[in-house]
This record gives sequence, C-alpha cells and structure tokens, in this order.
Amino acid sequence: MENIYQPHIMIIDDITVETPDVKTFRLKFQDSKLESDFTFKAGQFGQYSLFGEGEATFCIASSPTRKGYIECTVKRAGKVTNAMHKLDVGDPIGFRGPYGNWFPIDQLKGKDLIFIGGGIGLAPLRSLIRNCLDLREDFGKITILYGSRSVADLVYKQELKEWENRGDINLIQTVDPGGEDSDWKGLTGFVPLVMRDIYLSSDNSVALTCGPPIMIKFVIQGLDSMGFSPTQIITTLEMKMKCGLGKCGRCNIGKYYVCKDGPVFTYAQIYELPNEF
Amino acid sequence: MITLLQAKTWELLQQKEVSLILGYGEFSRKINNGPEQRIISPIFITKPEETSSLVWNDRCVFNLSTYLTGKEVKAHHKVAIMAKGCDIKSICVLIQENQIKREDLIIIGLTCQGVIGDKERPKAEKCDSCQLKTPHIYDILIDSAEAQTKKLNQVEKKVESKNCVNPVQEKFDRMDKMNPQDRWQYCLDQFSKCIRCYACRQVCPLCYCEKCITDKSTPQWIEKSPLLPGNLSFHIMRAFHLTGRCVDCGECERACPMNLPLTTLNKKMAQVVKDMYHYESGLKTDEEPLFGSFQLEDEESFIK
Amino acid sequence: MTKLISRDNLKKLISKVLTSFQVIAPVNENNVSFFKRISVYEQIKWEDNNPTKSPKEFFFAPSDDLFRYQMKNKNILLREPSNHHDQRIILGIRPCDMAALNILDRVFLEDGKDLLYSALRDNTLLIGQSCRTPGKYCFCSSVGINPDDSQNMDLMLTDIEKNLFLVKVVSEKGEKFFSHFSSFFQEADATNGHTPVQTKEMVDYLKRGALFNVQNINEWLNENFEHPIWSEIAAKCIGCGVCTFFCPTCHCFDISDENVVYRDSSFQGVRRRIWDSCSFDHFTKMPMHQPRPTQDRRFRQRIMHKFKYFIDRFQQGACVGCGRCRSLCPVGIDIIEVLERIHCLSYQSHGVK
Ligand SMILES: Cc1cc2nc3c(=O)[nH]c(=O)nc-3n(C[C@H](O)[C@H](O)[C@H](O)COP(=O)(O)OP(=O)(O)OC[C@H]3O[C@@H](n4cnc5c(N)ncnc54)[C@H](O)[C@@H]3O)c2cc1C
Ligand code: SF4
Ligand code: SF4
Ligand code: SF4
Ligand code: SF4
Ligand code: FES
Repeated sequence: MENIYQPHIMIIDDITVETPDVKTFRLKFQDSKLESDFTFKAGQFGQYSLFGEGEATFCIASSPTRKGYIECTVKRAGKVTNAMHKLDVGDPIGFRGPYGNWFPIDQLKGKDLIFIGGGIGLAPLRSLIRNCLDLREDFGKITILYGSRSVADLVYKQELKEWENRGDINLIQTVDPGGEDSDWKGLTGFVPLVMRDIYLSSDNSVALTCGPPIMIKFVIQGLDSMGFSPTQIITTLEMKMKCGLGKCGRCNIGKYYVCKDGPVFTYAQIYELPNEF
Repeated sequence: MITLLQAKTWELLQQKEVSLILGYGEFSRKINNGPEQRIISPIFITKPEETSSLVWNDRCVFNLSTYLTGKEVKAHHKVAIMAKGCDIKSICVLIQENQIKREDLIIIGLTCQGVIGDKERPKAEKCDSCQLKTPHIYDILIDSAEAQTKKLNQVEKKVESKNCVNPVQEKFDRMDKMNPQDRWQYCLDQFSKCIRCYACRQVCPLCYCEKCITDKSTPQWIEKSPLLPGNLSFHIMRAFHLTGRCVDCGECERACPMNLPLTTLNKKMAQVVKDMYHYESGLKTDEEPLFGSFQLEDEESFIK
Repeated sequence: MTKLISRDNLKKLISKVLTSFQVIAPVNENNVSFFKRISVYEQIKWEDNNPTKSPKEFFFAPSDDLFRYQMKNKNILLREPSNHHDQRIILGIRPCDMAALNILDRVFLEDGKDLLYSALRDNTLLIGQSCRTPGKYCFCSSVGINPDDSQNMDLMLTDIEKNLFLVKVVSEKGEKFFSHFSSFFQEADATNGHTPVQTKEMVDYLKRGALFNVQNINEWLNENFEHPIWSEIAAKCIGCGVCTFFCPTCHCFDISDENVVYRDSSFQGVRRRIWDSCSFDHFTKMPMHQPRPTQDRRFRQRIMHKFKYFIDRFQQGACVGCGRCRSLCPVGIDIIEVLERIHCLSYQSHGVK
C-alpha cells in the first residue's frame, strides 16, 4: 500500500514564460510505468512539491488526450510558487494527483460551449478546451471569452494565436481598461461588461467560467440575466488546500470538501453552499 | 441595585460618548455534580440597557486591552474599557506604540485588591507583586475594594492551607538561581510540552502583529511543528519581542493549557531592563518605548 | 465475558507488560493531566475523570513525519519516515474519547487510507475505563454516548470497589490478551456484589438527560448560516487553538517541510503533518482571498463542522461531549451555552411555524 502523502517524482521537460509572473511547466514522470499508466480528466488538479519548500495546488492545464506529460501554469504568489519560478529544465518536482472532480465532458457533448476565463483562470479551462478541440466534432459552437489585466498578463499567448486562426472557434480577447498597448487588436473592458455586449445564447449551451472570485460573481449575474439556468453554468472554486485528499479539513465549505467534491461545481450546487468562498 | 459602574457606563452609551464598552460580565453555566457555576467572562456592550450585566469583582482576571487592537473593536470610533492597574499598563504600551489613541479611549479604572486566577489557582500570581492596586491612569474610577477585600481574605486563607501552587515569585527565584546548564535543561523540559496552540500569543495584549513571525513562510524563521526546535525559537523570540514591553499581566500563563511558566522568562527580561536602563513598561503614556529610545551611552554589557 | 482484577494484580500485570509493550497511561505533570508513555506503573495517575489532554495524539500526533527527502545533484530520494510501530497498550481511555476514534477513523481510514493512522490503530490494544462519576464539564449523554459504553475498547475496566476492577473483555484482541495473562484475573460473581454501583452523581447526570437535541441543532444550523448569534458569541473569541487542539475529534492539519539541512548543493529534510485549527486566521487565507476573514466566521465553522457538515457527510456528529473545550477556553466560551441557545432558538422558530 502506498503512502498517500508521498509524491511521485517528475522532471521538468520544458518551461514557457507566459507573463512576468506566470510560467508554464511541462513535467514528465521519472518512472516510465507511471508515465504510461497515468490518466486524468480535464478540471482535475494536483499537489506539486518543491522539497524543502512545501506543496502548492495547481490544476493540470494540459489535455488528458495528450499522454506522457502534464502541464501546470503557475503564478508567483508565495513560498512554493516563487521557488518554482527559479527552477530549470531537468529539475525534479514532486506530484500527487490527480485529485478532485472534473468537467462533465460527456454531458457537454453535442452542446455549444462558452468558455469565460480571467487571468490565470484560463489554466483549468485550457485543459478542457484542448480536450474538446481534440474531439472537435463532438461539440457544437465553441466561444472563448478571455480577459486579463493587461496585454502583458495574457497567458498562453502562442495558443491564443492558434485559436484565433482556427475557423471553428469564436475567440474574443479583452484587457482591462488601461491595460492595452499600441498593438492591441482585441477589446478593452472588464470581462463581465464585455460579455453583455456579445450575444450569448443559452439555447443548448453550457457556460464554463473560471477566474478571480469577483469576476466569476459578475459573470454569473450576467449569464443569469441572459437566461442561463444554474445547471448551465459551470465554474471552479478555489479554497486553500493542503492534503487534496479530504482529510486536512481546509477546503471544507458546507458538506463539501472542495478537493474531493470539487473543484468543479455547477452554479446550482454553489447556490446551495454557505456563502463562504 | 444599580452599581456605580453600571450607572457610569449607561451614561457613556446613552450620551453616545462611546459606542462600545469592553467589560466583565457574569454568567452562569451548567456543570455536573454541583450547582450552576458563576463565571466571569469578557463582554462587549453596545446598548445602554445591557450595562446592567457589567460586574467588577475579584474574579475579573482577564486583561481586556487585548481586544483593543482587534479589527472589530477598532471599527468603533470610541470605546470604554474596564481595566485594573495591570491592564492599564498594557493600554499604556499600546498608546506609546501608536496602536491606539488615548483620546479614543475612556479608561474605567478599577481599584483592585487582587483577583483570583482560574484553573483552581486561588490567587492570580501577578497580584503578589502588584504596585498598582489603585490605577495610575484612568478617566473614571470604580472602587469596590471593600467587597473584594473580604472575599480575598478568605482566599488568602485557602492559599495558606492549600500551599499555593507554583507562586510565580518562587518559580522565578528558582529559575534565576539555577546554573546555566540546569536552567537550559529546565527550559527544554518545559518548552517541549508546548503544543503551539498560540493561546499565549492570542491572549497577549502586546502580541498584536498582523502577521506573527511564527506564521511567516517566506522565509520560514520558525518551524511550525510543536517539537523542541520550533518551540524554543518561538518562545525565545516571543520573550525578545516582549522585552521592555511586557507588563506582567500574566495572561499568557493563565491562558496556557499546558501550564507552562511563561511569565518567568518575561519577568527576567523585565528585571534586566530595569537594572540596566531603569525602565519599567506601561507606567507613562508619553514616554518613548524602550527600543525607541536608544542612546549611545546605553549599557551594552549584555552583548558578548 | 466479565472478569475481575484487583488493583495489586493490575499493577503486577502492567509491570509485566511493560517489559514487552509500550504502555501509555494518564499522568499528571505541571498540574495538567495527559496520556504519556510510562516506564513504571507508579507514574500512572488514576483520576476520576478525563485527563485534560485527549489521547488523540497517539493516533494523530501534533507533528507526524510523512516522509523524508534527500536531494543530491538534482536527484531526489524519498524515504519512509522512521515512525515506530511497536505494539502499544493505552490504558484508561474513557468512553467519550473512545467514541472520538470513530470520527478519526472515518476521516483517516476511509476513501484514501492513511497508513500511519491505520498502523497506529492496529498496533494498539485499548484498555478503556468506564466512568463512575461524570466530570464537571462532561455532556456525553447529550450527544448519545453512554459513560459505560465499551465501543472501540478491547478491554474495559470499571472500578467497583476501592481496589477492585470489573474487567469486560470486549474484542477478540482483548480476549487474546486476556487469555495470555489470565492468571492475573479472577472470576466475577454477580451474586457476590460484583456489579458496578452507580454513584449518586452519575445517577443525577444520567437522569438529567440531554441538554439539547442534536437533531434540532442540526436542523437549525441548516437554516441559520447567517445569524446574529455568531458574532455575539464569538466577539470575545481570541482565535487560539485551545478548543480544537484539545478536542478529541478535531483533525484538521497543515503540511510543512521542516528540519531542512543544506550542504553545498544538496539538502535533506522531512515533510510533516502538523495540527492546525479552523480558529486560526491563516487556516483559509489565500494569496488574494480570505473566505473567513473574521473570528465569528471561524467560530461558526467550528460549530457547523461538528454539528452539521460532519453529520451531512458521515451521518454522525463530531462532538463527543468530553467538555474539554468548555473548561479550557481562555475567555470562557462554553459550547454548551452555544448549543443551548441554538436549541432554544430552534424551538422558537418551530413554535412560530
Ligand atoms: C483547486 C486549485 C487550483 C489551483 N490552480 C492553480 C493554477 O493552475 N495556477 C496557479 O498559479 N495557482 C493555482 N491555484 C492557487 C495556488 O494553489 C496558490 O497560489 C499556491 O498554492 C500558493 O502557494 P505558495 O507556496 O507559493 O504560497 P504560500 O507562500 O504558501 O502562500 C502565499 C499565500 O497563499 C496562500 N496559500 C497557500 N497554499 C494555498 C493553496 N493551496 N491554495 C490557495 N492559497 C494558498 C497562503 O495562505 C498565503 O496567503 C490553485 C488553487 C486551487 C485550490
Ligand atoms: S499557550 Fe502554552 S501550549 Fe499554547 S502555544 Fe503558548 S506556551 Fe504553547
Ligand atoms: S464525557 Fe462521559 S464518557 Fe467522557 S469522561 Fe465524562 S462521563 Fe466519562
Ligand atoms: S467540541 Fe468540545 S466537548 Fe465536543 S468533543 Fe470537542 S472538546 Fe469535547
Ligand atoms: S478556545 Fe475559546 S478563545 Fe480559543 S479559539 Fe476556542 S473559543 Fe476561541
Ligand atoms: S485539501 Fe485537505 S481536505 Fe481538502
């Protein structure tokens, strides 16, 4: 039997600098058996270890359809994340996971999908977006609305370009007022406001949103007024986590442990929860 | 019967001079094997009619000034606080250190003949050496010395017969006289018992840092686990941070569920400060704090 | 199966098992009673009531090593911690603390088994003790626990006379132990007055019955996440860890890398699990966001977790009525006062309906 707190060792395979304080790490398992056996679903997360510093929680930002590696996108926030930003390709990192639930991808099949992301909140959505793009014909229209504080703060810039050039995605990018630069071709304005100006049909569609709590709050209000029912809105909750296993008690809200029963929730579920997130 | 305390505090709230009174209330609680227990506990009063719950007696051991730096209390523009001489010393330090303003505070000074410690200790240990039975700073003075003296006399008797558990002075002298090795061993023995519940820090009126060094993670100065290395760092650090500040209100030791002799260390620091710099904390509001009054000619013999 | 053992024989028995087992029993130091590994029988301090500190630390320690790590030239080596799993006997745990093990079991054994916890559960023989007299602050009978309940015990002692204990052999493990040391025990004879007589205090305690109804509390909590009592009661709460650290059922923890020693480019250290508390401000604090910014919210979490969330999830409450939090809170916050108030409120709100 295994020690549930003991991570697997992974090696950094590639590092992409996304913004001044965000990097994406591509990690490979050191153990080749694990590499071939490891599976996860879009929306799940892991506990990443920097030995001597501690653990931090990040979602798995790569697509479950791409095997052999995982990616995580990390914003510098404190002890572990700062130390991670100092690592090089070839350095080891510990990983426990995958933990938590996932986006209900089977139920999304045949539906129009609207992704609304803010800042680093695009990371969990990216896993699902890539997953859907790999199975493109299973889904209806795909709309992506992505906003960040400034042009420099947009993550996955390379990918955004690719998505822009695909004919089968409607990508709308925006930056907060004052965050644009002279080359900026996207929109300017806060995500919830921009959202009101574009037509989003609630017919046979599901909205998936992820970002800062304040953005999510207003996005949900907006979707609500556009006729989206609470079960048509899916989001992720962020609570402080330590164990990821439903034991340490930190991520508890109401009867849920976000690390076990979440992080993916429909708005209908969140509505039932005590207002404490 | 309405006491002077209740009348004065009623007036303060009624005339909107303050919006909150930090005081002592008496509650009863159900216990087994006996009649209901009457206990004293801090009470926050905002309505004039609630002032009838306020009491002042020899069981009012808490130092309420610990609440003055809390967010909830700071939200009030002006508060009144019931305080014994020892509690007023810590209010003094808070004023010196610019945590609160004297003019935002009405001090209801309490003349005190000593209070009873909890945990079955017959008398709070701090009272033995108290020099401020009549408070040194106050706006309103409440004197109920007589009623108190009577009860305490009884207590005093009980103390004798019970052979008082660990009087602080005795503990202090014992530790002071030890040779360095024994003293170190004594500290190790005691601090290895700490479980890091932080009751001592939380109850301390002068541990008001928004983020305590023990909670800092970048870098992590002090190990979090309740094992000897982290415990020692925590307590030595805390004693340093309280040097020239601790007013010996004894709250940390009272709150400690493991009964660690916490005040002993602080008392020693206070003694050193007094001998070297003739400074005693919490006596004057307009005095510079010890560490804010460095002078070139200050004695430095402790730097080895 | 019920037997008898005299105090003298118990002493001989413990002295004998001390040569082959770790024995953990109640002691008293600094005026605080707690469970501790003993080396001679005389260290034991038999008291009528529960020790101040609960025995949970022997299953879920204030600090547990999870694993060790060693870094050398970009190579990480992970090693199992050097936790000792010697056979142990814990003596003198009372029914409330035994019931608390059910709660820890649900958390640590189900849905991702915690190996350390389960090893400690497995290698321990529990010789419990029933209560003859309730402690001042006990309220086990209000949360459905009986002071002579033998659940989770292997053997249960009940003192029936000054120097005589009734021994109930409860589990298979207990039976094995008994048969191995049967010479220390004698036959019980019910006709000979060898039945426990309840003290007057215990009769009163049991007669008084429940101070509140857990079901009512739970229902009221369902409706009253927002209610003025939270800030009223918690105004004086100083946010320490006393009520949670001393609670036999509280199980929240932090994980931290410690004891890190650096040498050139290599280092080693240990990852630890450390008691943590929902009363602490940093418990839920995130870089940009704090879901429980004030003490009343943290206090509410404690009550909600015990009397609602845990019940919703595991169909059982997470308070066993040991009364420790009541007696130890440095500012006199009393969980009974809270629960009685809620009980009254729930009654009122039903009355209005
Ligand atoms: C389900 C989930 C998915 C996440 N996904 C991502 C992601 O994809 N990319 C990303 O950059 N960030 C993500 N986060 C946030 C990320 O976990 C924290 O920013 C990170 O743990 C901070 O760690 P640190 O050691 O650098 O900070 P610390 O030095 O530990 O702390 C800095 C601050 O962060 C708080 N903190 C510590 N641990 C956590 C934690 N686990 N969650 C939240 N706050 C914490 C501390 O209380 C402190 O206020 C996610 C969080 C959750 C819960
Ligand atoms: S109150 Fe006592 S046990 Fe708690 S942290 Fe302070 S010294 Fe340690
Ligand atoms: S709560 Fe009940 S079982 Fe626990 S010590 Fe008190 S009487 Fe005994
Ligand atoms: S909440 Fe209080 S009374 Fe209940 S089990 Fe915990 S410490 Fe004991
Ligand atoms: S012991 Fe008392 S003061 Fe400390 S956190 Fe618990 S309720 Fe609050
Ligand atoms: S992170 Fe520990 S319980 Fe969810």
